[in-house]
Amino acid sequence: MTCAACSGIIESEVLKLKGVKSAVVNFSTEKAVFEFSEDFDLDLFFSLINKLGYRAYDDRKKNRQQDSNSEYTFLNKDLLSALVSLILASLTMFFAMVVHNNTYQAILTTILVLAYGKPYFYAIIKLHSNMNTLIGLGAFSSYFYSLYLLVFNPHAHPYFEGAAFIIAFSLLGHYFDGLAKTKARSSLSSLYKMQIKFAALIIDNKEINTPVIELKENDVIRIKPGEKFPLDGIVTSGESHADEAMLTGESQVVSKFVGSKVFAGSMNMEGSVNIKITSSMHTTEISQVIDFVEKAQLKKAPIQQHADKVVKYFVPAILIFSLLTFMIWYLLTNNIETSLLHMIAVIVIACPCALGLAVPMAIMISTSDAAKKGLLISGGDIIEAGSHIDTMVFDKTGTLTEGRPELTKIVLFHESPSIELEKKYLATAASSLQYSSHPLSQSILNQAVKNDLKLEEPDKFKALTGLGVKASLNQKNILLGNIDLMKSANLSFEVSPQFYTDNIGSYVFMAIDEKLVACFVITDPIKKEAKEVIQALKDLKINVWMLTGDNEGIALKVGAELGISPENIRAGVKPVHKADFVSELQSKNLKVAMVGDGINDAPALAKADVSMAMSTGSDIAIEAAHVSVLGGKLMSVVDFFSRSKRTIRIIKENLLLSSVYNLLCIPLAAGVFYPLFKLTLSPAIASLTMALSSLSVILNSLRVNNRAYSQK
Amino acid sequence: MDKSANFKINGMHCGGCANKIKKQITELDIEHTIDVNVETGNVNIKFNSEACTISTLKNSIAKAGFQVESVELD
Repeated sequence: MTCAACSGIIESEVLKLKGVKSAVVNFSTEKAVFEFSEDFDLDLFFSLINKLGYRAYDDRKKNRQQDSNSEYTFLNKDLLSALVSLILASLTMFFAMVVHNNTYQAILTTILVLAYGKPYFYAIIKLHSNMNTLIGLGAFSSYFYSLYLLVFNPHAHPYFEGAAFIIAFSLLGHYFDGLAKTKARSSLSSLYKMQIKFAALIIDNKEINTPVIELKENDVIRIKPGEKFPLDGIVTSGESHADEAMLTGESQVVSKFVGSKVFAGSMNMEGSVNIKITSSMHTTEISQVIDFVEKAQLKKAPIQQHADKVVKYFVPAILIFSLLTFMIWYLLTNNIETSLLHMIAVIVIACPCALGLAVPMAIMISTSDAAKKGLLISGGDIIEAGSHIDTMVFDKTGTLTEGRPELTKIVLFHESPSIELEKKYLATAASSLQYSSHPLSQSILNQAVKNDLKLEEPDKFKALTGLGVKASLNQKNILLGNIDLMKSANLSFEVSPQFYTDNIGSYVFMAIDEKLVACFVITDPIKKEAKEVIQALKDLKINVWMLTGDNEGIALKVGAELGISPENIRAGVKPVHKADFVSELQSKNLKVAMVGDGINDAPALAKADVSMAMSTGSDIAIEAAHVSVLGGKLMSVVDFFSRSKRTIRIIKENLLLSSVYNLLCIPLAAGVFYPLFKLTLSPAIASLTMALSSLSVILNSLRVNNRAYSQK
Repeated sequence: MDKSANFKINGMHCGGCANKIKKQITELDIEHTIDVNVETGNVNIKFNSEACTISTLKNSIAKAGFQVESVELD
């Protein structure tokens, strides 16, 4: 495909086929997605694509590694044709300027046209309206006009070198475009490269080197230190660490032991491990990430629709304008040659390509780079929406805080505090609630394990929903739970208001034999980078809100530590009401983004203009959210907003660049400035300018990554 | 047998599931009685506290392929 108009042509032609439901073609990634009914004959599709002058491959069967190799040879072929045609064109010029031999010129140009003119010729006779049509019309009209002169008017100066250079420069431009596009795609192809080819399959304790493609689920393979995991799996023996940076962007290595999940493409560090395979080549987490990004890049940003509309009418408009140019020049000078040259220059210089590339190029580069950093953006539309966001709502647990509550303090009610006593009560509590699966129980249990405390078996144990647990340990009755449990047990006790202000967190009270003895204060630690993230969002002029189901004390304390003002905090909010709150903000005409852990805040996420889900650990199930942040890295939230703003700015620059180029250069080529400044362009120079203009858009788009928000 | 544990279990469908759990507990080779209610998801095991712990029973149930949601001890 040579320009954005091509993708439009393919879309409309394929839709005409019977049985095709939808068609989306992305020019910059050179990918197309079609939906068709079951009885649809795929050969019909391929022959149509061939007839249109393109080549198509079935992506569902491909090996992605080969993809990047074939790209490489394509580029070499482009370079070769560009160089050969440049040499031919220079020789033609030599014969024109120095030797003045028209016949040799004609022969050389004919060779060039026969060798490389085919795609341009097809573009014309098939009445496409794309860049090749314009180049072809320019080149062939100079060529045939020169032939006409050669035969009927041997003394006139023919214009073979013009035709030669138009084709040569256009091929050169094509090569540079390919080069820049390959660079732009490199982020994505580095994801492909994570897939490896061979692995040591273990059968009867022997290692057999086997192609990864032949491995099946439940096969056991051995991964040595420094090797990459070829497929997703579960460790069955051995211990090691894994570097999962390619999935989560997280630089810290993750420890792996028997039962841990490992992911294709991640790197095994210091130990040998055996893993049982749980995925096929096409169902690994990493290939899901790749599929996600590729699909995202097919979704067009609204801003692109305007550009597409212009591109559609661009070529016909240029053809009409070039005819006008010819007529006006002919009326003014009565000279066919001058008029024709201006007409050709107009046709050649016009570049729908730059305009068509302006949006998709920037979006593609931005989303690929983001994916590499563990930030999955589901499309260009989301980038555009992200650039308009002015209000950000955080669901506290799991986003601003770790989502892993920790026991931070043990308060004694009747005895003076001592470490021995605290340990004794911790052991009693942990023993009593060891069979409870409540997160607060888990944090008390974790703390006991950390202190190497010996647990005893309880005689009796009962979980009381919404209250706590009731157990019997060493003939003592133990009650562990919230204040309501203590009240319901008719204990004589009093907790001073001072207690609640001194100790902020979630409370687990403990009573032994109907006497309140201690309270375990549990808090969810704030993420290290949370404060910095809130400040960075404020710097981006985004108003930050915090929602939480926790009590007001916790909410205000976390808010104070993070620099969120109390009026922007809502505590004690139930999951259903989180969605109402988002709608309430939206009704004030605010553009709201919502960040959550994607588990209990799904309704609120669905309401938001942009929804972001934090996936923690290496669990990268891709949620229904617009943006998924892998590895729970909060800084990625800031990266998303600064990236959206930057991407949209670059898109606007691209659109401006290509519009200014066309608005300035087309009149220039038409000779509008000739009467004033004696300025005109030869068709050959026009072809070179055009090649440079689309290159400039691609290069400008690459700047999206230059000032990426530094990840700390 | 001095202890009785009630396990609430997810994902049991039929008598086959119940038998799987019974089989795993029997393999522990301890004196016990077991009662499985597939419909409510309750498994009651009576056993000697010297012979076995709750964690061992929980592991056996996990080996049979079921997740223990909660435990009650009497």
